[in-house]
Amino acid sequence: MSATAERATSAEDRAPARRTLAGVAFGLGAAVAYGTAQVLARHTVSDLAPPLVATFLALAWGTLGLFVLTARALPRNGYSRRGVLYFAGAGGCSAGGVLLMFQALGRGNVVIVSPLVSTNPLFTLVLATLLLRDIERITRRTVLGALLVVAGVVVVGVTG
Amino acid sequence: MLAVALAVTAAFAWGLSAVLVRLGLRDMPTALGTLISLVAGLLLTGALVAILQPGELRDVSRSAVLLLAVVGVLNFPIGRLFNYMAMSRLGVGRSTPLLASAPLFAVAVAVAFTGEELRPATALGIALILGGLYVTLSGPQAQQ
Repeated sequence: MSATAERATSAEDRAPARRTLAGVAFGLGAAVAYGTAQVLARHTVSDLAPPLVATFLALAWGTLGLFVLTARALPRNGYSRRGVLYFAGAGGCSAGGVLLMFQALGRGNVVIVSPLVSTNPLFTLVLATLLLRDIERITRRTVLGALLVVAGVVVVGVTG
Repeated sequence: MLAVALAVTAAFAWGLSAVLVRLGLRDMPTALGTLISLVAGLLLTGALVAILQPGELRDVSRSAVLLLAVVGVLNFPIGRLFNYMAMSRLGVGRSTPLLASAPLFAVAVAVAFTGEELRPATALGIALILGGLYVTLSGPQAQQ
């Protein structure tokens, strides 16, 4: 194999690793942001506004912030209607989940509600197995990892 | 019983949301998709506020609005955008446990900045989360 071909193969080998590393960094960044927001919300916001109003205002600020940050990079045309529907559905489900969680917390004990809502990664894996067959394979290892994380989150949620 | 049903439905809604994002990422750039998801959520919650609690919005203090700005920016332009970027690179299966580990960082922030104590049971929970992340991320890439 020539040196050029070897270099090309080596670069191809590294590309998936770099992509994975970037994905892990983004995932951890998101988890840190969510975790910090959870602490802020628990210690301040819950006393200052009703949950529905607080969710609306936080979403309004977040939408404005993201628009300002990404406005220049957004494509002006060529929007895929299917993509719009999927992401709009995702946003609706996400906001709906928050509102349902607040309703559950208002009607039940946090010790019961918190662990139940923490099981959402398991629903993700079940739905991914059913709906994402052509895109992604859910392995036993992924399921085991998710089960351990959910168990840990439940323990932290109940004892924290 | 109603609280249990609501909590399980909330978990299902978040699970479905992640799968819809993965499907949407095939047709749309991540930042635009994130913005569309936020607008959809904003319209839904805005409609509910207008119907159920129209007066409450006027009563929110300026300091609360500013605090919610910090929470909103952490949760959405940072949290949600990074979440979707992780999903596009790792797939739903491997990014979901990463995202679910947010309470780990909430504990770290609470212990470091608000003086909360780390209980043994909480430490056990953290160990389980870290173990789960190791198992999830140490395996081969399963995306097709």
